[in-house]
Amino acid sequence: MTHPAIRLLLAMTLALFMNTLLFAGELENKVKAAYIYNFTKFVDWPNEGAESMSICYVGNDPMRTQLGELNNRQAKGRTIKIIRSRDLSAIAGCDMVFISQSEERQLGALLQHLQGKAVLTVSDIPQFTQKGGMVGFVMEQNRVKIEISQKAVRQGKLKISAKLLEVARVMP
Amino acid sequence: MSREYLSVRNLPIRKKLVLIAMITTLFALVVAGAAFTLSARKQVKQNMVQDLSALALLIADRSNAALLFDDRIMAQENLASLRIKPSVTSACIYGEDGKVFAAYNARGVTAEQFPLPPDNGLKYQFTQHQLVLFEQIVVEGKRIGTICLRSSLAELDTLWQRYLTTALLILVASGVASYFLSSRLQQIVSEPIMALTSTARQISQHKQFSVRADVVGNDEIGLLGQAFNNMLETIETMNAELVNSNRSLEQRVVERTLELHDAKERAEAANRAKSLFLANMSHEIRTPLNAVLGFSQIVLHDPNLSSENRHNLQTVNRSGEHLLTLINDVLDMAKIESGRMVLEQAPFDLPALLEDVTEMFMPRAIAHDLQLIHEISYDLPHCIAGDAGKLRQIVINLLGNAIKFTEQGGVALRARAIRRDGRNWLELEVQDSGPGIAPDDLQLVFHAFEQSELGRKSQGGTGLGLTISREYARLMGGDLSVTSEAGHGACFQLSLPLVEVEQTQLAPATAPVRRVLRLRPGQQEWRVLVVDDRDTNREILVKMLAPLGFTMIEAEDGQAGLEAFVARQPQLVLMDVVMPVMDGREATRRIRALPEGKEVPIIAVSASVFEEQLREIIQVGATDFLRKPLREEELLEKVVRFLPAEFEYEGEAPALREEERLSGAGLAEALAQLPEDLRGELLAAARQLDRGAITSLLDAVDGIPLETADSLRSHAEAYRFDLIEEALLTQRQAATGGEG
Repeated sequence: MTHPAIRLLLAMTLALFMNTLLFAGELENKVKAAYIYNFTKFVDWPNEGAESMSICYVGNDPMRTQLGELNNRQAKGRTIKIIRSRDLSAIAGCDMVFISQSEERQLGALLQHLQGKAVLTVSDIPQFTQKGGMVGFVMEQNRVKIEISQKAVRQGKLKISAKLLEVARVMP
Repeated sequence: MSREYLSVRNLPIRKKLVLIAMITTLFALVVAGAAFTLSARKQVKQNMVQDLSALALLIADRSNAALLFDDRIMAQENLASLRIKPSVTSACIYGEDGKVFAAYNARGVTAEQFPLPPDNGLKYQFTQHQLVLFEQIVVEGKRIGTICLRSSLAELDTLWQRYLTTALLILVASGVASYFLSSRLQQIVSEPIMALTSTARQISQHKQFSVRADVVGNDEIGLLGQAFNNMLETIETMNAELVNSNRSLEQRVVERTLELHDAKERAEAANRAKSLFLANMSHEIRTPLNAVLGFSQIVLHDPNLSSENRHNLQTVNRSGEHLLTLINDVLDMAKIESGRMVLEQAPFDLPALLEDVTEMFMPRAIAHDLQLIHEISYDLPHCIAGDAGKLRQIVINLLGNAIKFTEQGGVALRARAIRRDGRNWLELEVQDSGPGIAPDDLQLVFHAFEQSELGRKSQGGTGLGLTISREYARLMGGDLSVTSEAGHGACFQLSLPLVEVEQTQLAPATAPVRRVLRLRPGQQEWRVLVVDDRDTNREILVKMLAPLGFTMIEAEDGQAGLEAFVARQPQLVLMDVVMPVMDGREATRRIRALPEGKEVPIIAVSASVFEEQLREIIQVGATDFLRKPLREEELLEKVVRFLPAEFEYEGEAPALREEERLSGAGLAEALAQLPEDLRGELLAAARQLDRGAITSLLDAVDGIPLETADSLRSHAEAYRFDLIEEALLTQRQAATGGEG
């Protein structure tokens, strides 16, 4: 029953689909990395004037390449430093922390640790904002959307620009 | 074009000024308005750009998050806020990649293709109807997109239109205002000019230089007015001077005219005075001469007179006669000069007269060994009217002079009739081969009292001959001229108008008059009234007539004469002309007014030399006249003619005519009694036609019988030298014949 032609066709379709998937995942990461960079423009940190801006990365590395590209870029006159760390103490010194989906299980602890600190927490973990995170990526109609928890932001003593709030879904 | 230019030039200054003000104002307004409008438009555009740019930047700023976070809806919402700005028709936001990220179209505006965002720095671009503006969307120095706004220019156009309308309104309003203003203000300039112009026109039309222009102000027109007034003043002054000088000139002309008139009057008065003086002198000279000649004639009748006394008395008589000739010559000249010479107009035989005169000169020419040529043209009319005596005098003068001054060769007398200027003329010329006349003397020869060198050297005469001849010729309507070259003789040309008359008009020869001895006895009493204020004159007449048997009545003026006429009824009146109380004219007139005085013969006796005086008394009624000094023969001739008395005449032979009394045989016989020398001298003088010489001879030599002397003298005075010569030759022949 398997016709070689059909098999070929199936194979080709699968290949195409896989490629698309692969492409989609890569783009998504790229967009997310860009967004992460863009957040630096709409968020005001209390430590204004520091030489560098450290963006920390926690979890496995589907985004490692994209984030790495941000390294040494300028944001608000500061040089971005991408730091990959699982060390909680190290994370607390970061200006922004991206938490990979791989860290969903220890999310509570991470957030606990960062409680009250001026660290913007960003993650693509679903319902991140409900779980105490500040900025979460959600996919909506194949597009990356932003959710912001005003409560969390307020607790972190950060100021988020109204423009960012306009484009994001603001959670209570 | 030039016509328009001219028409502008011909505009009155008033309109020119308005025009200039209008053009200037409108030009300034248009330029200012245009500049203002253009700059306003630029400003408005810039404002639009700025406004739109601000708007774009605002939206860009607001949209950066949407762009960064790929929120198209948000971006669209931001763009949609442009709704509040209706002029913005459409807008779009490009992403970093240049693709349209979000777009906006105003209500009712169809979607348009948006242009690609420019790569260069161009921020905005005006097309015909819209302004397209681009603003980069920058976040932290990094361009994340571009916003594009398209704005309609309708607003600008509306604004533009409003500006234009306003500018036009301002233009029209300012134009009208400037017209009124310049119309008013131009009077400041134009009125003085127009006033000046009208003044100038008034002056040029009415020539009133007393008018002055009103000078207002001290500007150029004021100065012009002043200069104009100064000029007028100068003109007026010059006019006045001109008028003055004209007036004074006229005054001077009048004065000069008066002076000239006065001078003329004086000259005429002087001339009249001269003539009067001459007339008076002549009268005054003739009056005593009358006595001298009269009494000498009376005394000569005395049979008891010693022969010596008779001779003496004859000398007195001759001298008186000579004196009379000289006076007559001068008087002729005076008469000519005072224009009182009167011409006779009687028929005479012209060729006969010329032949007569030539004949007369022939012996003298022969004596001088000269050829005397006589050429009378055959067509010369025989009978002409004129003054034969004066013509004769002229021809004798001319021939006499020619023969006198010519030493060898000959003298020619030519006469012919020619027609010139529609009239007949007698052309008479006397040519000689004498020494001629120097050019300087040519005209001098006719001048009175001026004799040429030759004339002065030659003796005798008053030097008036040629002068009198020329004056006679001119009196007769002709002329006497001379052509001559020194050494080649002279030629005198006489030309006279020729008036031919019928042969029958020739005067009949006068009947011979016989010498009266006395009134035939046994007749009635013949009374003669003598009226004269001078005793001597009366006495002469009385002594001349009383011996003949007349009853003489004397009266010493016209009044007395009139009374005597009425009282005595004389048959003859001898009336002096110039008298006190009543003159001869008045007395004659009064006598003629009397019934018994109508027919009586009145003979005027006058010393006047002027024919018109004699004519005058003839006109008032005198029958005839006698000249003083009286000659007995003349007196008796008149008496015989006018008094119907009977007379006894001398001898049996009929008396000769006065001047021929002793002509022919009688005179020849009488001449025989004269000395031989005297006869020779007389013959020479007669041949030379020298009246003065004959008179002098008669005066100088004693013992010439009175009758002989009288006869010779009267011949000489009448220029009948031929008769004298004939008598002398007859006597000589008789003497030689008697001897032989």
